[in-house]
Amino acid sequence: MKLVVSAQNEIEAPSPPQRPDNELWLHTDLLEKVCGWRLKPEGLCRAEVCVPIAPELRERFVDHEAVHASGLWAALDRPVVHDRSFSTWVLGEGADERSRPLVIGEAPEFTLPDLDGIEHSLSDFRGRKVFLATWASW
Amino acid sequence: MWQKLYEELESQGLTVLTVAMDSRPGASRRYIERARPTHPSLIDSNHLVAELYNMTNVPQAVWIDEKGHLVRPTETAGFSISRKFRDVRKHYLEAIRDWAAKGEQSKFVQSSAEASERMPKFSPKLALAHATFHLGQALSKHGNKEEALEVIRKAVELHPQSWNFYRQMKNLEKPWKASGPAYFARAISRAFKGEEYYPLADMPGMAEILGKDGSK
Repeated sequence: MKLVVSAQNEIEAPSPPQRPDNELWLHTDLLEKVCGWRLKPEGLCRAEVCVPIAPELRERFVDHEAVHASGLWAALDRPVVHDRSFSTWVLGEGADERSRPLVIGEAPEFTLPDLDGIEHSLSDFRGRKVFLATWASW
Repeated sequence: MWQKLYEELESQGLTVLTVAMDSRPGASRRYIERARPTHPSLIDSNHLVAELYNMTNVPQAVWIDEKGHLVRPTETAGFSISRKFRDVRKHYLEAIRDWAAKGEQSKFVQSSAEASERMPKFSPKLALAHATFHLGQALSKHGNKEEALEVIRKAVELHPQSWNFYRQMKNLEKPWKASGPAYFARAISRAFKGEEYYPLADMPGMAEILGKDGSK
């Protein structure tokens, strides 16, 4: 199974047993590896942020060590899409998440490789003006 | 064009950072190698920058100041399909030079609040379009061309303004044939609906180049 999170990470993971509803359930360790969210007694946590899960929802989103990742993603207002065979899943970024840097006027951060495979981040250029331009070879 | 600008403005504290919206892995390589850029020239095979900055075509650009704040929003980087395209490009390059020389005093610079306000807005539908595009890209990368094409067509439907998505779809249909007659027919038909292929950057002095009535 392939899991794609945002535009950059693609993770190859063993396919979990298919559920009758065809939804994506991930082991809590894998969920954390894929997107940083960890299931804890107080809820789902990423860094210092915890989203509590009401007891009635816990039943819907949590099954022992497995988390209903696709349901959770949708509940967080983020897009989740998959291929026909349910073997490639994309857990996308939501509109709110994408808008966040712009609310404070910040240029969204990214890291991309050059032709030699050396990675560059936008923040490497702090202290200089950056003219950021796109092109394509078609 | 950007390499020359970089050489000229590098010593004035301005970095030209170019990002290739690569449609096939390595497709940009021969262009970059031929141009021998010394400025940072990055490869963005999954169109991450286009997603983050809500870009729909190339070339588009943003201006970012020393603190990492936006001072001009996503806009066409000096291109035009009008007869005055050389003047448009010249004016745009002059604006960048003015910014390099005068910094925040340049009349072309906006406050980060204004630049952010002018950024194209994100929406749940756009977020779904990008997720769908990534699914198509992943399928394409792993050789499932037929389903990849179907998925990317869906992304184009969700985000018809994106020429980047459309170009990718055309390339999947027929490699290296994105710029065929169908592509230009679409550009023309959308132009009739008031959607410019290269909307003019909204900066001082630009609209005047095409005349007060906006005619070309």
